[in-house]
Amino acid sequence: MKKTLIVLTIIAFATTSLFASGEKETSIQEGLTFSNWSGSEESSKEIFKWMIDSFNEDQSSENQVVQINWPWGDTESQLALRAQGKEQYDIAQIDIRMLPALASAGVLADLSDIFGESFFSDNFAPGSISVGNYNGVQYGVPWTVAPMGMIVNPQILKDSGVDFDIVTIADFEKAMEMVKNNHPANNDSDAGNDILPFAAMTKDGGTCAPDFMVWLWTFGASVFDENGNCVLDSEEAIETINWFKSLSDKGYIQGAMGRGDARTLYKEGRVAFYNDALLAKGAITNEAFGSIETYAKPQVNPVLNEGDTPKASGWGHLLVIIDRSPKKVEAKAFIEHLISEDVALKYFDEIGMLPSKKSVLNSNEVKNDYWSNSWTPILDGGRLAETAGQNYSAYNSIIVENLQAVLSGSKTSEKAAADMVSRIENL
Amino acid sequence: MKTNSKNSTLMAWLLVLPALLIFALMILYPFVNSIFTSFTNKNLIFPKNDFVGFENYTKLFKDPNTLPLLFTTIKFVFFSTICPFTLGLIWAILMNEKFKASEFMRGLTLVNWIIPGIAIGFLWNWIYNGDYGILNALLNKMGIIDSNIIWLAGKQTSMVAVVTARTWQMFPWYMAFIMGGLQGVPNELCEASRIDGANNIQVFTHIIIPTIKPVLILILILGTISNLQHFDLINVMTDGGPERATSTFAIEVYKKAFKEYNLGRAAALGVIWAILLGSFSFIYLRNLKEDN
Repeated sequence: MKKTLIVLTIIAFATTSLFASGEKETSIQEGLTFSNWSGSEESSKEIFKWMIDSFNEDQSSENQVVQINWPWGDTESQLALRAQGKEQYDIAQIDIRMLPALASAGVLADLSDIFGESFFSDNFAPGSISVGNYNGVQYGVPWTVAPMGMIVNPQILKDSGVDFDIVTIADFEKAMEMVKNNHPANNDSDAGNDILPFAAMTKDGGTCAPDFMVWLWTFGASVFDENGNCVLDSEEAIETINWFKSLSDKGYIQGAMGRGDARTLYKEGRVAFYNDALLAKGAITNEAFGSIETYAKPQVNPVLNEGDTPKASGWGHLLVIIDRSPKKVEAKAFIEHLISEDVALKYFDEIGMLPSKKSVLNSNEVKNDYWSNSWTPILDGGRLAETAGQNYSAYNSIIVENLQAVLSGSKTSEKAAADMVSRIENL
Repeated sequence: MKTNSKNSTLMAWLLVLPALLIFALMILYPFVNSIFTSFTNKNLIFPKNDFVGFENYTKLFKDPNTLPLLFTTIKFVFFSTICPFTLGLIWAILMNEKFKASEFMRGLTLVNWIIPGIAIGFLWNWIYNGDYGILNALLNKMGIIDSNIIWLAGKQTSMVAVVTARTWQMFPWYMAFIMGGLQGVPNELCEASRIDGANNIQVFTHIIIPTIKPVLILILILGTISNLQHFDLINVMTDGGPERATSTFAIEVYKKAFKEYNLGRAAALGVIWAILLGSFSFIYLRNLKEDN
């Protein structure tokens, strides 16, 4: 009797477990999911909560938006994983660099069908529309689009005696030299206060490789030629690598520098130059230094020769709708809410995210803002990382590993360039 | 009598069934699936899953990074096992002595092991940070260095940094096991050898070590297996860099699968990794059998 009871209990347990797991599969979708990374970041957590809450106020329970957060670096893989699974997700914030891979994987919906053809041309500038377009299909609504710029600390330059405009690479090198040698903090015994001339990315593929590409373009090199062949062993590319190595040898840049590290150091007033996107404002604001114009000035990257067009890495956030979402109409309403004037201006006001919608972009609040005005010269000329696409991470890893090898001295520039080409071609 | 025996067998199978089901679903199926995947070009985001034969394996063997990957894994596993083991052994001997607050100290030591690996990674990242890390600040104040060292940017220093963090995390685990072994050493045996003239070192090498040898071997094997699988600390601290100096099998499989989306290649690397792990598991199981 006792044994029979135990057997029955085991069978009952096993069957109820099976039914319990099966029930979830058949449940009807309630609400909408908004996948993003900014909602979990300290600087934008509050505004994201407000954006969602203000939308939910007017929605019925089945159309309430809930957010799912993961770090920026995991966004592409998380969206991809969900595309293969059965989990619900409807709207997502993506980086423009993720668009080629996600679009060609068939994860994203064609927004022209949902928003209508004229929606984009009526509301956005052609440059903004193009970043959400892949192979002629409009997959993304431009949320905030602005190339990455060079953020300069005028106070550090002044304290170092830099009294000239930084236009060319030669000016840039001279300024870095002066910061390294002349700044009082670099001449005292406390290494804990040292000022780093340039917080160039050297740590991870996701930030180092796209930033390094800007220098490649500046020196007239590229990762691929027009036929798609890797040309990282070109004369210009090797010259760029040599130049980057010289910055390290002179102590102007340092290893293990990620974007987060650079922002932290900049916020502490310990970096003269670094590359970042418009959203940096939220991360580098430090009221202890006074108003932001005293310690942060966005400007274009230096050029090789005077008169050259400054190069910049394309940057921006898009709002996309997932192709298999059953609630595309509701998703559209949420996106319209996010880019509406009230919401976009509050987003801009709180963390400096430049709106993309023409009507909002032309508002006085935006036009009179120091940060966005400083960004105006940078707005033209942003270029998407050449590695964006299916092998984005693999290409970037190859570039950063070889660049690190050059910086540490374990490879020459020529050897590293040849290794990059060989590995990229044999991927 | 026969019916009773049949019932017992049935009962035994039924009791084992849940565990067998869990094993089949959670371990056997994913493992067999991984082997199949390693012969395909399956991608995480692109809808392709074609049979490619041994292509993933041949590409891996031709990849100039595969051999260094193996050496880096061996280096990490060796030092991350030996260092906390040695420290754990010394600490266990100290903690085995009866002194005031010895029990409190034992409990306190275990805190390192309880903290999640991710948190430990961030903690040590801050310690090692080249610009605002406490290690550079300390060395600077003591006059040992006059400019900051970027610990996580050097090939050698980054490995030392990761192994140190892993040692800090894991030595309490070794200590706990060794202490268990030490408590099983008969006191009379130690006393008798001392009466016979043995000094402390002789008691330790001739009485204590042989008595706790089975425990030591077991934890060394388990530690090796655990370090072969280790992922979180390295991922947080160095992400396998710089120049792949801290890239182990665990990191590489993760990158191949979830950063490069190449599930076929990741699975092939995973199979090689599993064979490596399997050899240590085999030694462990054989050791267990011998002990029994």
